[in-house]
Amino acid sequence: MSKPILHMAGITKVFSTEEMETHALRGVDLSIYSGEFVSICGPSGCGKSTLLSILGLLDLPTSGSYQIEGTEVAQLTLSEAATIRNEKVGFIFQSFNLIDELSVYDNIALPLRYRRNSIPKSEADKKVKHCLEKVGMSHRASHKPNQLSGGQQQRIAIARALVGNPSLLLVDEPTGNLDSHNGDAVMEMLRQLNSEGTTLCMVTHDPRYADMAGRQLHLLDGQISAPQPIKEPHEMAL
Amino acid sequence: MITTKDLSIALQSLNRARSYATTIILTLGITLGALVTLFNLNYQLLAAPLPYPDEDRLYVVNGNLYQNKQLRLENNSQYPALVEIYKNDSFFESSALVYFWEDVVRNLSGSPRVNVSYVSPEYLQLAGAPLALGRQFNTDEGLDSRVPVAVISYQTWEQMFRRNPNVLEQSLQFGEVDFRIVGVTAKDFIEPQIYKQGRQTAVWLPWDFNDTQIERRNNWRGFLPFRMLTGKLKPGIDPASAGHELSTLMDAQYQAALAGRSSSVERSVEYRLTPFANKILADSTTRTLMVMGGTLVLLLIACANVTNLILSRAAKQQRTMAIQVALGAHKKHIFFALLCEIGLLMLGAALLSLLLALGSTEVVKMMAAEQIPRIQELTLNWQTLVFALLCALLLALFFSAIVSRQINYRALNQMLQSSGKGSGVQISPLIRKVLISSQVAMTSLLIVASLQIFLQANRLINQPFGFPLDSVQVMTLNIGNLRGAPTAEREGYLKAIRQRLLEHPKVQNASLSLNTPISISRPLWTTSLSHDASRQSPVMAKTTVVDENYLSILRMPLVAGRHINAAEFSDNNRMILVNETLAQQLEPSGEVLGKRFYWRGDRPYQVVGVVRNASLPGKKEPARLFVRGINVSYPLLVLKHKPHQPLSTTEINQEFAQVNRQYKVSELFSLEQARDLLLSNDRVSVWVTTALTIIALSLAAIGIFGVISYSVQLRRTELGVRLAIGARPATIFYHTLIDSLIPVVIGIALATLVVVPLALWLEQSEFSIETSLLGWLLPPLLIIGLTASVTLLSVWKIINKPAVYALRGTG
Repeated sequence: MSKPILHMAGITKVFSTEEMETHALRGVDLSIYSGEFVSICGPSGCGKSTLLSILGLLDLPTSGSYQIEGTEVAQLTLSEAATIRNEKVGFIFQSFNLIDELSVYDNIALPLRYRRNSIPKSEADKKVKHCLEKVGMSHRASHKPNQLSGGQQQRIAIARALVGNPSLLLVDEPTGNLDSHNGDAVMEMLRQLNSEGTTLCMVTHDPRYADMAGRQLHLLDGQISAPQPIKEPHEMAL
Repeated sequence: MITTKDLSIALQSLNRARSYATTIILTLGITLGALVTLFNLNYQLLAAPLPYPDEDRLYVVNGNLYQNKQLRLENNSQYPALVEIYKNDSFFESSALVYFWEDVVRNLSGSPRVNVSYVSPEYLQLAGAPLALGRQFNTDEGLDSRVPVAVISYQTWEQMFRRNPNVLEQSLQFGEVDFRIVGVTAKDFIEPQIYKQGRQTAVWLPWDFNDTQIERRNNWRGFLPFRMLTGKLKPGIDPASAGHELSTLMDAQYQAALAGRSSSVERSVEYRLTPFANKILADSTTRTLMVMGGTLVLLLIACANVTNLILSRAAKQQRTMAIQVALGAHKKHIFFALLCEIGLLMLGAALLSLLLALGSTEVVKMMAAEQIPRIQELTLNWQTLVFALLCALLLALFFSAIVSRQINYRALNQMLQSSGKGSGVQISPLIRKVLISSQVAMTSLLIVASLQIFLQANRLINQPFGFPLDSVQVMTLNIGNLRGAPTAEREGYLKAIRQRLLEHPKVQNASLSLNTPISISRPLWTTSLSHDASRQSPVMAKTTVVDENYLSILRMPLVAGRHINAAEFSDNNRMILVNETLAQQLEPSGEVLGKRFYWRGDRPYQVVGVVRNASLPGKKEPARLFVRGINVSYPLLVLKHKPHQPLSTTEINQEFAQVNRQYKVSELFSLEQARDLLLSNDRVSVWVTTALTIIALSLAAIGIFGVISYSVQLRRTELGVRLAIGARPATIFYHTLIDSLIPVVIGIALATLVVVPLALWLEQSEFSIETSLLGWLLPPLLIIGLTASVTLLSVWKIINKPAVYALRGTG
């Protein structure tokens, strides 16, 4: 098997308050390989979102080792983490998290604006338009997010996640705020992306969608309980 | 309508938000307190009646001398003219002569120098002086009666007689006359300060005993300072017409006195009636009104802060409002509920402001007694109370209306139906920007004005005088009963005194003179120099009689020529020195060395030296003439003592006593003290402007922080998203700063729109304000720096933590 895009070993996360300590993750070991589609399921409060936050460098682990493409990232500064997040990770959130004041086009272009090495405007424009086409939203480029339906907003969120050409796409309950029709469409889009080679890691409650992943991880009380064998992309079905 | 129940609910609600209530009451209470204090002061100065009977009919009569229709001497009167007006009952119901002077009490230990006013009996009656003991002067003690009696002030009774109830049996000796004390003015008597701000008379003596020489008392050609007439105008008499008629009468006498004297100069006199209020207030209200304007701006800045706080609280209370709306509350119910809460806060602020005004009024009375007239009368009056409460009411209505306008009643109605989502009350981005812009505009205006005044005052304070001030003491001498002694005898005494002081171990040099360039109480003597004996085109100059040591003690350098040496002093050489200003006025080229000019008499004086101009702060250097000689009537001694070894009054009086016991130190001060007195207003300006700047900046910092942190709080998730997709913390700070700076720049631009025309007007006006580039640039830079700091503080919690915290909206 090829080298993993990311590798976690013994990752823990403890939230402390004055009264108590909450162990959200208790020694998670995880590797995700290029082109994989991994889903993470588990009951509420099991640590799914915490794990996803640490995977996306949105949060730092309390202890353990975490490497992305061979680089140790567990204890980066906030600025270094932001740079890696910008270049190697794409996020898709349950609540879309589009910025209302910006147009669809500007929302998608936003990650490119934050690039350490700025991208020429024409190239950025090309990338944004390509992503808009990919999610079938070219005709809505100048609209504001609140003028779109939930399904359309999530497609824009997917385009924004893809525009920086990340190594890994992290997806947090992508269908949580959508009806089943729009949910199915978004999942089909994700499946399509995976089949084109995008590596995906998705947190979901829905076993139907979790089943679409090549590998399902079950998280219980901050630990991965039942790792499953990896499926080839062609084995996945809606 | 508002009921007691509404008030009770509002009080309970505020009790649960104590820090919010405390912040508002303190912010508004302090700034309103400053405004109320200044209102009280300005009301006292501008509107409160003077505490004298028929104060609107009280006038001061002073003479002015014109030469060729140009004002040559202001507020200098002819002695016989004053007496004649006093005796003329055409215009005044009652009038009084008054002469403000100072003298030494010879029969009290230490021979204290006191302020003396020589008055005719009517003076204290016109001022309605109440008495603690005894009586005022009576008609038997009027003009030409020469009855040696005295009325003393309450302070004199307290300080010199320790409130001895038998003081009326005692006497005070001035010169060689014992004056029997016949009355003590009451503690609450406020003397009309028509001569000089802050001057308090210690002893009133009958007019007859004033020190004007007999020959001057009948001289219509002599013009004397400090002497004036006060009077209560008859009802219906127009003061301008009365002045005109008096001028005509007195000018006729003056022209008669000049008859037979050959002069090509046209001279005339004018006697003008000035209301007591104008004399007492002079131009003091300009400064107090400016400071009041400053405090008003402070209050407006504070209002912007409070608006933000009140709107934020309303946003937090929207669920409560939604429930009220769901239960049937109308918009007016919501408004009255708000008004109750805000009204209570404003009432608290008004009460605090009155308390602060009460305290600060006492502080102002202590600190500004010399600078502000009528300050001792200052108390919190009902007008001030009404003003404070009216301000509180207007503020309450203003804040309630602002919040009310921000409430989306329909959204509140729907809020509960949509499970509490949505927002019925939110500070709109426009309001947030307006709050910042208005605060920045007002702060910029206030700081620009304060800074310009501060820089100018600071420049004056630190401006070199053109000669060193250290180790020089100046004293005026009281000559007791020697006023009538022959000039040569008095000159001999003075030379002997100078010699004794020169031999004193602490003294390096001593000079006899009439004045110094920095004068505390003695006005400069104005005389004229002419190119020819006919006195055509005379040039006016402030004249100082000096001996050979004068310029070396004051270390005033010569720019040309030489000083008059000791030998030339003893000869009767007619030599003079002039300063650069006078040199240029005499000859446009300034080349006056060796030239001869007519000063007094028919023989010319030769210019032997040109003295470099002094540069007194804020004053244009006048033309100065230095004439050799010794003034025996009003002598002044200048001492250069050894470093850090100043002489005391007692030490100097001991030296005087060795020559003649009649000589006493009347007033002793160092040049450094004279400088401090000269700069006292500038120092007050520095303190006031510094305080205004600090308070304005602090209020602006709090206000801008409040608005920006509220905006950042609203954008928390959005900023989290930006962080999530790879924005670095510095990038987030940069973009937030740019967003924050937009209203700041608008505010600065608004301030510029006001400031630029104001500056242009100032440059063309009579105000001598020299603006500086630093004063224009520093305020916007300070405000931009302040905005950057508060923006960083606001976003710090977001950018200094992993992005997930902002995304989740948790700390």
